[in-house]
Amino acid sequence: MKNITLLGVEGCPTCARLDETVQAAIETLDFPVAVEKITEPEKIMEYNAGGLPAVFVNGRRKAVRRVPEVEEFVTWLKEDQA
Amino acid sequence: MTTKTKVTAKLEQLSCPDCANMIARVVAKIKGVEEAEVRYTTSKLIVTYDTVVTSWDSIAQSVAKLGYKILSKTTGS
Repeated sequence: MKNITLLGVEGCPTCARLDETVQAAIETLDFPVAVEKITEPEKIMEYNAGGLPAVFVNGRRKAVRRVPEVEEFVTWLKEDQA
Repeated sequence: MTTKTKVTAKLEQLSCPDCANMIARVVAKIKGVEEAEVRYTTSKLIVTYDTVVTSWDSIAQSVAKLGYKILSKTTGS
């Protein structure tokens, strides 16, 4: 199963937009995707992401400091999908 | 002899006030930090700390781990 990890801040409008974009991308897919949202500062620091919000797909950093387009999420999630 | 120092640091532009609050909360938790404030509108971190207990490098490292770059800093009492 594909995993998306979103690092962000509770209440941040940019991070909320990121959530919405991820959900929109997932709705176009025909396979399950697990989404984990991390907002606790101590956990965010463990990722050393280099900026917020940040997106990791299966542990690989894909985007920082921006909200990717739905199409980008779809591409990342389809990578290596058998 | 005082061991307190006050540093004002300019951060990269912050995404939102909530991000500013998060940075302030994290810095305030560092042992030796007496006061920490992050101003969203100016992207400035103002921190007062005890140099015997902690260092600027430790504070800067915590900010960096949250993903925010420090562009410059000035030290003043």
